[in-house]
Amino acid sequence: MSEIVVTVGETDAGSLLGTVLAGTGHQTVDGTAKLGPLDVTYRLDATLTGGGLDLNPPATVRITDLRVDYALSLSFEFDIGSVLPEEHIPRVCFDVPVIGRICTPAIDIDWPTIRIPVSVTDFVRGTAELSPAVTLDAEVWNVAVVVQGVPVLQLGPAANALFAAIGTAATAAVALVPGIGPFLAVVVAAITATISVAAATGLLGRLLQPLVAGRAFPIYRQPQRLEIVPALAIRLDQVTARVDDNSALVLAIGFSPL
Amino acid sequence: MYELDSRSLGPFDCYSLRFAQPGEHRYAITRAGPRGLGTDRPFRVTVTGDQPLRSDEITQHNVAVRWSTDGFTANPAELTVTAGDVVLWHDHHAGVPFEIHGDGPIDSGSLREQSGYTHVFGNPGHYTWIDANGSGLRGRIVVRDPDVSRPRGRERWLAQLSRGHVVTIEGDRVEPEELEIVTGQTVYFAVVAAPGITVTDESLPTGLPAPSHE
Repeated sequence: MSEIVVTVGETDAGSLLGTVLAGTGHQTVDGTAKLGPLDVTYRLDATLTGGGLDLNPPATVRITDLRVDYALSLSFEFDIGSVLPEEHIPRVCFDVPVIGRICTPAIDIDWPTIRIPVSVTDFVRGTAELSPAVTLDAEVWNVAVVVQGVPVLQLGPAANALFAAIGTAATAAVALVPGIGPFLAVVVAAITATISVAAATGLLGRLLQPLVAGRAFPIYRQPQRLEIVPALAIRLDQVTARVDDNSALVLAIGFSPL
Repeated sequence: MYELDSRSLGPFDCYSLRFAQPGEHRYAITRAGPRGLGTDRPFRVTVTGDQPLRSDEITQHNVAVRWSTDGFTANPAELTVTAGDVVLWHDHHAGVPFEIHGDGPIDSGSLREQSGYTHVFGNPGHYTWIDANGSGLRGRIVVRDPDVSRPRGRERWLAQLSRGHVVTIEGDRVEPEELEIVTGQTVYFAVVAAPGITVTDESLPTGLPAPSHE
Protein backbone atom coordinates (compact mmCIF):
# COMPACT_ATOMS: atom_id res chain seq x y z
CA MET A 1 0.00 0.00 0.00
CA SER A 2 1.31 3.43 -0.96
CA GLU A 3 0.67 6.56 1.02
CA ILE A 4 -0.09 10.20 0.38
CA VAL A 5 0.63 12.61 3.18
CA VAL A 6 -1.14 15.95 3.23
CA THR A 7 0.12 18.51 5.70
CA VAL A 8 -1.87 21.59 6.58
CA GLY A 9 -0.08 24.25 8.62
CA GLU A 10 -1.70 26.05 11.52
CA THR A 11 -2.46 29.17 9.48
CA ASP A 12 -4.09 27.29 6.65
CA ALA A 13 -5.93 25.07 9.12
CA GLY A 14 -7.30 28.21 10.76
CA SER A 15 -8.57 29.47 7.42
CA LEU A 16 -10.07 26.07 6.74
CA LEU A 17 -11.81 26.04 10.11
CA GLY A 18 -13.14 29.56 9.57
CA THR A 19 -14.68 28.43 6.32
CA VAL A 20 -16.13 25.36 7.99
CA LEU A 21 -17.64 27.38 10.85
CA ALA A 22 -19.10 29.91 8.45
CA GLY A 23 -20.71 27.04 6.62
CA THR A 24 -22.49 25.80 9.70
CA GLY A 25 -24.91 28.72 9.40
CA HIS A 26 -27.62 29.55 11.86
CA GLN A 27 -28.78 27.14 14.47
CA THR A 28 -32.25 27.52 15.91
CA VAL A 29 -33.55 25.64 18.90
CA ASP A 30 -36.63 26.08 21.01
CA GLY A 31 -38.22 24.37 23.96
CA THR A 32 -38.71 24.71 27.66
CA ALA A 33 -36.14 25.05 30.41
CA LYS A 34 -35.74 26.05 34.02
CA LEU A 35 -34.78 29.57 35.02
CA GLY A 36 -34.20 29.13 38.73
CA PRO A 37 -37.53 27.76 39.97
CA LEU A 38 -39.43 29.12 36.98
CA ASP A 39 -40.36 27.28 33.80
CA VAL A 40 -39.52 29.25 30.68
CA THR A 41 -40.22 28.71 27.03
CA TYR A 42 -37.46 29.84 24.75
CA ARG A 43 -36.27 30.21 21.22
CA LEU A 44 -32.60 30.56 20.48
CA ASP A 45 -30.92 31.58 17.22
CA ALA A 46 -27.17 31.21 17.27
CA THR A 47 -24.21 31.50 14.95
CA LEU A 48 -20.68 30.25 15.57
CA THR A 49 -17.63 32.09 14.40
CA GLY A 50 -14.09 30.91 14.90
CA GLY A 51 -11.21 32.62 16.56
CA GLY A 52 -7.65 31.45 16.82
CA LEU A 53 -6.55 27.88 16.23
CA ASP A 54 -3.95 25.96 18.17
CA LEU A 55 -2.78 22.58 16.94
CA ASN A 56 -1.16 20.48 19.62
CA PRO A 57 0.30 17.02 19.06
CA PRO A 58 -0.72 14.32 19.00
CA ALA A 59 -4.36 15.06 18.32
CA THR A 60 -5.69 18.25 19.85
CA VAL A 61 -7.18 21.10 17.89
CA ARG A 62 -8.06 24.01 20.16
CA ILE A 63 -10.26 26.86 19.00
CA THR A 64 -9.63 29.89 21.13
CA ASP A 65 -11.91 32.89 21.08
CA LEU A 66 -14.74 30.86 19.69
CA ARG A 67 -17.69 33.22 19.50
CA VAL A 68 -21.36 32.28 19.77
CA ASP A 69 -23.65 35.11 18.70
CA TYR A 70 -27.22 34.50 19.75
CA ALA A 71 -30.67 36.00 19.93
CA LEU A 72 -32.61 34.57 22.84
CA SER A 73 -36.33 35.06 23.31
CA LEU A 74 -37.87 33.59 26.38
CA SER A 75 -40.99 34.07 28.38
CA PHE A 76 -42.20 32.91 31.73
CA GLU A 77 -45.21 33.31 33.95
CA PHE A 78 -45.16 34.88 37.37
CA ASP A 79 -48.01 34.82 39.87
CA ILE A 80 -48.06 38.25 41.49
CA GLY A 81 -50.31 36.81 44.18
CA SER A 82 -47.32 34.80 45.36
CA VAL A 83 -45.67 38.04 46.43
CA LEU A 84 -48.48 40.40 47.33
CA PRO A 85 -51.46 39.89 49.61
CA GLU A 86 -53.77 37.67 47.62
CA GLU A 87 -57.05 39.16 48.70
CA HIS A 88 -56.58 42.88 49.14
CA ILE A 89 -54.55 45.91 49.88
CA PRO A 90 -54.73 45.77 53.65
CA ARG A 91 -56.69 48.14 55.81
CA VAL A 92 -54.33 50.59 57.46
CA CYS A 93 -55.27 52.43 60.64
CA PHE A 94 -53.85 55.61 62.11
CA ASP A 95 -54.22 57.25 65.48
CA VAL A 96 -54.71 60.86 64.53
CA PRO A 97 -54.49 63.72 67.04
CA VAL A 98 -57.84 65.26 68.01
CA ILE A 99 -59.82 63.00 65.68
CA GLY A 100 -58.91 59.58 66.93
CA ARG A 101 -58.61 56.46 64.82
CA ILE A 102 -58.93 56.63 61.05
CA CYS A 103 -58.59 53.64 58.76
CA THR A 104 -58.15 53.38 55.03
CA PRO A 105 -60.36 50.74 53.47
CA ALA A 106 -59.05 47.39 52.37
CA ILE A 107 -59.22 47.11 48.61
CA ASP A 108 -59.84 43.82 46.89
CA ILE A 109 -57.53 43.11 44.03
CA ASP A 110 -57.19 39.75 42.36
CA TRP A 111 -53.56 39.82 41.41
CA PRO A 112 -53.04 38.15 38.06
CA THR A 113 -50.45 35.75 36.78
CA ILE A 114 -48.53 37.66 34.16
CA ARG A 115 -46.40 36.52 31.25
CA ILE A 116 -43.03 38.22 31.03
CA PRO A 117 -41.37 38.19 27.61
CA VAL A 118 -37.63 38.76 27.47
CA SER A 119 -35.52 39.30 24.37
CA VAL A 120 -31.79 39.64 24.44
CA THR A 121 -29.17 39.66 21.69
CA ASP A 122 -25.65 39.04 22.85
CA PHE A 123 -22.63 36.81 22.40
CA VAL A 124 -20.34 34.64 24.47
CA ARG A 125 -16.76 33.71 23.87
CA GLY A 126 -15.09 30.52 24.78
CA THR A 127 -12.60 27.80 24.08
CA ALA A 128 -13.33 24.43 22.59
CA GLU A 129 -11.01 21.48 22.26
CA LEU A 130 -11.46 19.22 19.29
CA SER A 131 -9.91 16.02 18.02
CA PRO A 132 -9.66 14.76 14.47
CA ALA A 133 -12.03 11.92 13.72
CA VAL A 134 -12.02 9.77 10.60
CA THR A 135 -14.92 7.62 9.50
CA LEU A 136 -15.73 5.57 6.41
CA ASP A 137 -19.42 5.68 5.63
CA ALA A 138 -20.92 4.18 2.48
CA GLU A 139 -17.50 4.09 0.81
CA VAL A 140 -16.86 7.72 1.55
CA TRP A 141 -14.07 8.89 3.81
CA ASN A 142 -15.00 11.69 6.17
CA VAL A 143 -12.51 13.62 8.22
CA ALA A 144 -13.86 15.98 10.82
CA VAL A 145 -12.75 17.68 13.97
CA VAL A 146 -15.07 16.89 16.87
CA VAL A 147 -15.53 19.01 19.98
CA GLN A 148 -14.42 17.06 23.03
CA GLY A 149 -16.27 17.45 26.31
CA VAL A 150 -18.04 20.64 27.33
CA PRO A 151 -16.66 23.86 25.89
CA VAL A 152 -15.59 26.55 28.29
CA LEU A 153 -17.86 29.49 27.55
CA GLN A 154 -17.48 32.80 29.35
CA LEU A 155 -21.07 33.15 30.49
CA GLY A 156 -20.67 35.77 33.20
CA PRO A 157 -21.15 39.00 31.22
CA ALA A 158 -23.93 37.46 29.15
CA ALA A 159 -25.72 36.24 32.28
CA ASN A 160 -25.56 39.74 33.76
CA ALA A 161 -27.00 41.13 30.52
CA LEU A 162 -29.78 38.53 30.54
CA PHE A 163 -30.53 39.25 34.19
CA ALA A 164 -30.73 42.98 33.48
CA ALA A 165 -33.01 42.31 30.51
CA ILE A 166 -35.27 40.21 32.73
CA GLY A 167 -35.49 43.08 35.23
CA THR A 168 -36.40 45.53 32.48
CA ALA A 169 -38.96 43.20 30.96
CA ALA A 170 -40.45 42.41 34.36
CA THR A 171 -40.80 46.10 35.15
CA ALA A 172 -42.59 46.72 31.86
CA ALA A 173 -44.90 43.73 32.30
CA VAL A 174 -45.72 44.36 35.94
CA ALA A 175 -46.37 48.05 35.31
CA LEU A 176 -49.36 47.07 33.17
CA VAL A 177 -51.13 45.41 36.07
CA PRO A 178 -53.98 47.62 37.33
CA GLY A 179 -53.48 48.82 40.86
CA ILE A 180 -49.88 47.69 41.07
CA GLY A 181 -48.57 51.25 41.54
CA PRO A 182 -47.28 51.14 45.10
CA PHE A 183 -45.99 47.61 44.78
CA LEU A 184 -44.26 47.74 41.44
CA ALA A 185 -40.75 47.94 42.81
CA VAL A 186 -41.32 45.16 45.34
CA VAL A 187 -42.81 42.79 42.78
CA VAL A 188 -39.92 43.37 40.38
CA ALA A 189 -37.48 42.88 43.24
CA ALA A 190 -39.22 39.65 44.15
CA ILE A 191 -39.05 38.39 40.56
CA THR A 192 -35.37 39.16 40.18
CA ALA A 193 -34.69 37.69 43.63
CA THR A 194 -36.48 34.53 42.55
CA ILE A 195 -34.32 34.19 39.48
CA SER A 196 -30.80 35.37 40.43
CA VAL A 197 -27.77 35.80 38.19
CA ALA A 198 -26.71 32.24 38.97
CA ALA A 199 -29.93 30.95 37.44
CA ALA A 200 -29.39 33.10 34.35
CA THR A 201 -25.88 31.68 34.08
CA GLY A 202 -27.22 28.15 34.41
CA LEU A 203 -29.85 28.71 31.75
CA LEU A 204 -27.38 30.16 29.28
CA GLY A 205 -24.99 27.30 29.90
CA ARG A 206 -27.72 24.73 29.29
CA LEU A 207 -28.80 26.45 26.08
CA LEU A 208 -25.50 27.50 24.56
CA GLN A 209 -23.09 24.73 25.46
CA PRO A 210 -24.99 22.03 23.54
CA LEU A 211 -24.63 24.16 20.43
CA VAL A 212 -20.93 23.46 20.59
CA ALA A 213 -20.45 20.33 22.71
CA GLY A 214 -19.95 17.12 20.74
CA ARG A 215 -20.22 19.00 17.51
CA ALA A 216 -18.30 17.73 14.47
CA PHE A 217 -16.95 20.08 11.83
CA PRO A 218 -16.23 18.27 8.55
CA ILE A 219 -12.97 19.26 6.90
CA TYR A 220 -12.40 16.53 4.27
CA ARG A 221 -14.70 14.25 2.38
CA GLN A 222 -13.59 11.88 -0.31
CA PRO A 223 -15.15 8.78 -1.98
CA GLN A 224 -13.05 5.71 -1.38
CA ARG A 225 -12.64 5.24 -5.14
CA LEU A 226 -10.64 8.06 -6.60
CA GLU A 227 -10.29 8.35 -10.36
CA ILE A 228 -6.94 9.90 -11.23
CA VAL A 229 -7.51 9.97 -15.00
CA PRO A 230 -10.05 8.08 -17.10
CA ALA A 231 -9.34 4.38 -16.82
CA LEU A 232 -6.98 4.91 -13.89
CA ALA A 233 -8.41 4.80 -10.45
CA ILE A 234 -7.10 4.11 -6.99
CA ARG A 235 -8.71 2.92 -3.84
CA LEU A 236 -8.19 4.87 -0.63
CA ASP A 237 -7.64 2.07 1.83
CA GLN A 238 -6.93 4.03 4.96
CA VAL A 239 -7.11 7.64 6.15
CA THR A 240 -5.62 8.87 9.42
CA ALA A 241 -5.48 12.34 10.86
CA ARG A 242 -3.18 13.70 13.55
CA VAL A 243 -1.31 16.76 14.67
CA ASP A 244 2.42 16.51 14.21
CA ASP A 245 5.24 18.01 16.21
CA ASN A 246 5.32 21.04 13.93
CA SER A 247 1.75 21.94 14.82
CA ALA A 248 0.46 20.89 11.46
CA LEU A 249 -2.61 18.87 10.72
CA VAL A 250 -1.49 15.74 8.89
CA LEU A 251 -3.70 13.52 6.77
CA ALA A 252 -2.09 10.24 5.82
CA ILE A 253 -3.93 8.45 3.01
CA GLY A 254 -2.99 4.89 2.19
CA PHE A 255 -4.04 3.73 -1.31
CA SER A 256 -3.75 0.86 -3.73
CA PRO A 257 -4.40 0.64 -7.46
CA LEU A 258 -7.69 -0.75 -8.68
CA MET B 1 -48.59 59.00 37.19
CA TYR B 2 -48.39 58.00 40.81
CA GLU B 3 -46.99 60.86 42.78
CA LEU B 4 -46.86 62.26 46.25
CA ASP B 5 -49.19 65.20 45.77
CA SER B 6 -52.38 65.88 47.69
CA ARG B 7 -53.57 67.99 44.75
CA SER B 8 -53.63 64.88 42.59
CA LEU B 9 -55.18 61.86 44.28
CA GLY B 10 -54.08 58.59 42.72
CA PRO B 11 -54.18 54.85 43.37
CA PHE B 12 -54.85 54.09 47.05
CA ASP B 13 -54.65 57.79 48.00
CA CYS B 14 -57.26 59.08 50.43
CA TYR B 15 -58.50 62.49 51.44
CA SER B 16 -60.23 62.88 54.77
CA LEU B 17 -62.09 65.69 56.42
CA ARG B 18 -63.76 66.05 59.78
CA PHE B 19 -66.96 68.04 59.58
CA ALA B 20 -67.25 70.06 62.78
CA GLN B 21 -70.29 72.17 62.00
CA PRO B 22 -73.75 71.27 60.74
CA GLY B 23 -74.67 72.30 57.23
CA GLU B 24 -74.90 71.09 53.68
CA HIS B 25 -71.79 70.83 51.58
CA ARG B 26 -71.92 70.20 47.85
CA TYR B 27 -68.78 69.17 46.06
CA ALA B 28 -67.29 68.03 42.78
CA ILE B 29 -64.65 65.50 41.84
CA THR B 30 -62.56 66.64 38.89
CA ARG B 31 -59.41 65.68 37.13
CA ALA B 32 -56.35 66.94 38.92
CA GLY B 33 -54.97 70.12 37.43
CA PRO B 34 -56.22 73.62 36.75
CA ARG B 35 -59.86 73.93 37.74
CA GLY B 36 -62.34 75.10 35.15
CA LEU B 37 -65.10 77.58 35.69
CA GLY B 38 -67.78 74.92 36.06
CA THR B 39 -70.02 75.18 39.09
CA ASP B 40 -71.53 71.71 38.89
CA ARG B 41 -71.24 70.05 42.28
CA PRO B 42 -73.18 66.83 42.00
CA PHE B 43 -72.22 65.25 45.31
CA ARG B 44 -73.31 66.20 48.80
CA VAL B 45 -72.40 65.77 52.46
CA THR B 46 -75.09 66.84 54.90
CA VAL B 47 -73.94 67.39 58.46
CA THR B 48 -76.55 67.19 61.21
CA GLY B 49 -76.42 67.81 64.95
CA ASP B 50 -74.70 70.62 66.70
CA GLN B 51 -72.79 68.99 69.50
CA PRO B 52 -69.15 68.24 68.77
CA LEU B 53 -68.46 64.59 69.41
CA ARG B 54 -65.82 63.16 71.66
CA SER B 55 -63.11 61.40 69.71
CA ASP B 56 -64.37 57.98 70.81
CA GLU B 57 -67.80 58.84 69.39
CA ILE B 58 -66.58 59.86 65.97
CA THR B 59 -67.78 57.77 63.08
CA GLN B 60 -65.81 57.37 59.89
CA HIS B 61 -67.71 57.37 56.59
CA ASN B 62 -66.01 56.17 53.42
CA VAL B 63 -66.74 57.44 49.92
CA ALA B 64 -65.34 55.47 46.99
CA VAL B 65 -64.31 57.49 43.95
CA ARG B 66 -64.55 55.83 40.55
CA TRP B 67 -64.00 56.97 37.00
CA SER B 68 -66.21 56.14 34.04
CA THR B 69 -66.69 57.63 30.61
CA ASP B 70 -69.30 59.91 32.14
CA GLY B 71 -66.83 61.28 34.63
CA PHE B 72 -66.10 60.69 38.27
CA THR B 73 -68.62 59.15 40.59
CA ALA B 74 -68.80 59.13 44.36
CA ASN B 75 -70.29 56.20 46.18
CA PRO B 76 -72.37 57.16 48.06
CA ALA B 77 -73.09 60.31 46.12
CA GLU B 78 -75.00 61.77 49.04
CA LEU B 79 -74.07 61.24 52.63
CA THR B 80 -75.52 62.37 55.93
CA VAL B 81 -73.17 62.49 58.88
CA THR B 82 -73.16 63.83 62.41
CA ALA B 83 -71.17 66.93 63.28
CA GLY B 84 -67.76 65.75 64.32
CA ASP B 85 -67.73 62.74 62.01
CA VAL B 86 -64.99 62.06 59.49
CA VAL B 87 -65.52 61.44 55.77
CA LEU B 88 -62.75 59.67 53.91
CA TRP B 89 -62.70 59.69 50.11
CA HIS B 90 -60.61 56.96 48.57
CA ASP B 91 -59.56 56.05 45.08
CA HIS B 92 -61.33 52.90 43.98
CA HIS B 93 -59.59 51.97 40.74
CA ALA B 94 -60.36 55.42 39.37
CA GLY B 95 -57.27 55.24 37.21
CA VAL B 96 -57.31 58.99 36.66
CA PRO B 97 -55.77 61.45 39.13
CA PHE B 98 -58.43 63.62 40.71
CA GLU B 99 -59.17 66.22 43.33
CA ILE B 100 -62.17 66.94 45.48
CA HIS B 101 -63.43 70.46 46.04
CA GLY B 102 -66.64 72.19 46.94
CA ASP B 103 -68.44 74.21 49.55
CA GLY B 104 -66.90 75.09 52.86
CA PRO B 105 -63.97 73.09 54.01
CA ILE B 106 -64.00 70.46 51.23
CA ASP B 107 -60.81 70.91 49.24
CA SER B 108 -58.22 68.16 48.80
CA GLY B 109 -55.93 70.64 47.09
CA SER B 110 -55.85 72.92 50.09
CA LEU B 111 -55.71 71.02 53.37
CA ARG B 112 -57.09 72.86 56.34
CA GLU B 113 -58.26 72.12 59.85
CA GLN B 114 -58.76 68.47 60.67
CA SER B 115 -58.23 67.20 57.19
CA GLY B 116 -55.80 64.59 55.96
CA TYR B 117 -54.14 62.96 53.00
CA THR B 118 -52.84 59.42 52.81
CA HIS B 119 -50.32 58.13 50.32
CA VAL B 120 -48.88 54.68 49.74
CA PHE B 121 -45.19 54.91 48.90
CA GLY B 122 -44.54 52.45 46.12
CA ASN B 123 -40.94 53.17 45.27
CA PRO B 124 -37.85 53.42 47.41
CA GLY B 125 -36.16 56.76 47.68
CA HIS B 126 -35.91 59.98 49.61
CA TYR B 127 -39.02 62.11 49.26
CA THR B 128 -38.90 65.70 50.39
CA TRP B 129 -42.39 67.11 50.50
CA ILE B 130 -43.30 70.77 50.56
CA ASP B 131 -46.40 72.89 50.65
CA ALA B 132 -46.98 73.90 47.04
CA ASN B 133 -49.03 76.82 48.32
CA GLY B 134 -45.88 78.35 49.72
CA SER B 135 -46.21 78.18 53.50
CA GLY B 136 -42.68 76.84 53.86
CA LEU B 137 -43.82 73.64 55.54
CA ARG B 138 -41.74 70.65 54.55
CA GLY B 139 -40.69 67.22 55.64
CA ARG B 140 -38.96 64.09 54.43
CA ILE B 141 -40.00 60.49 53.95
CA VAL B 142 -37.28 57.91 53.48
CA VAL B 143 -38.57 54.78 51.78
CA ARG B 144 -36.44 51.68 51.84
CA ASP B 145 -37.03 48.47 49.94
CA PRO B 146 -37.73 45.49 52.14
CA ASP B 147 -35.74 42.31 51.73
CA VAL B 148 -38.30 40.09 50.07
CA SER B 149 -35.86 37.56 48.70
CA ARG B 150 -36.87 34.99 51.31
CA PRO B 151 -40.36 33.94 52.40
CA ARG B 152 -39.78 35.11 55.97
CA GLY B 153 -38.76 38.58 54.79
CA ARG B 154 -41.81 38.70 52.56
CA GLU B 155 -44.11 37.79 55.44
CA ARG B 156 -42.52 40.45 57.62
CA TRP B 157 -42.99 43.01 54.85
CA LEU B 158 -46.64 42.06 54.33
CA ALA B 159 -47.26 42.55 58.04
CA GLN B 160 -45.61 45.96 57.85
CA LEU B 161 -48.04 47.05 55.13
CA SER B 162 -50.85 47.12 57.67
CA ARG B 163 -48.95 49.46 59.96
CA GLY B 164 -49.52 53.09 59.10
CA HIS B 165 -47.46 56.14 60.00
CA VAL B 166 -48.77 59.58 60.85
CA VAL B 167 -47.17 62.93 60.09
CA THR B 168 -48.94 65.66 62.07
CA ILE B 169 -49.06 69.19 60.71
CA GLU B 170 -50.17 71.93 63.04
CA GLY B 171 -49.48 75.56 62.27
CA ASP B 172 -45.85 75.76 61.29
CA ARG B 173 -44.91 72.47 62.97
CA VAL B 174 -44.41 69.11 61.32
CA GLU B 175 -44.00 66.05 63.51
CA PRO B 176 -41.98 64.04 62.67
CA GLU B 177 -40.05 66.05 60.13
CA GLU B 178 -38.41 62.90 58.85
CA LEU B 179 -39.90 59.44 58.73
CA GLU B 180 -38.45 56.15 57.56
CA ILE B 181 -40.73 53.47 56.15
CA VAL B 182 -40.55 50.50 53.80
CA THR B 183 -41.93 50.33 50.29
CA GLY B 184 -45.69 49.87 50.20
CA GLN B 185 -46.38 51.46 53.58
CA THR B 186 -48.95 54.21 53.96
CA VAL B 187 -48.39 57.62 55.53
CA TYR B 188 -51.25 59.73 56.82
CA PHE B 189 -50.53 63.46 56.69
CA ALA B 190 -52.86 64.72 59.40
CA VAL B 191 -53.51 68.43 59.20
CA VAL B 192 -54.66 69.54 62.65
CA ALA B 193 -54.60 73.19 61.71
CA ALA B 194 -53.16 74.93 58.66
CA PRO B 195 -54.10 77.79 56.37
CA GLY B 196 -54.65 75.59 53.32
CA ILE B 197 -51.62 73.58 52.41
CA THR B 198 -50.62 70.78 50.08
CA VAL B 199 -48.33 67.81 50.54
CA THR B 200 -46.35 67.80 47.33
CA ASP B 201 -43.16 66.06 46.27
CA GLU B 202 -40.52 68.78 46.00
CA SER B 203 -39.54 67.56 42.53
CA LEU B 204 -43.00 68.25 41.12
CA PRO B 205 -44.06 71.61 39.68
CA THR B 206 -45.67 73.62 42.45
CA GLY B 207 -47.62 76.03 40.30
CA LEU B 208 -46.14 78.88 42.30
CA PRO B 209 -44.63 81.83 40.41
CA ALA B 210 -40.88 81.62 40.07
CA PRO B 211 -39.01 83.72 42.61
CA SER B 212 -38.12 87.14 41.25
CA HIS B 213 -34.49 88.18 41.17
CA GLU B 214 -34.27 91.92 41.48
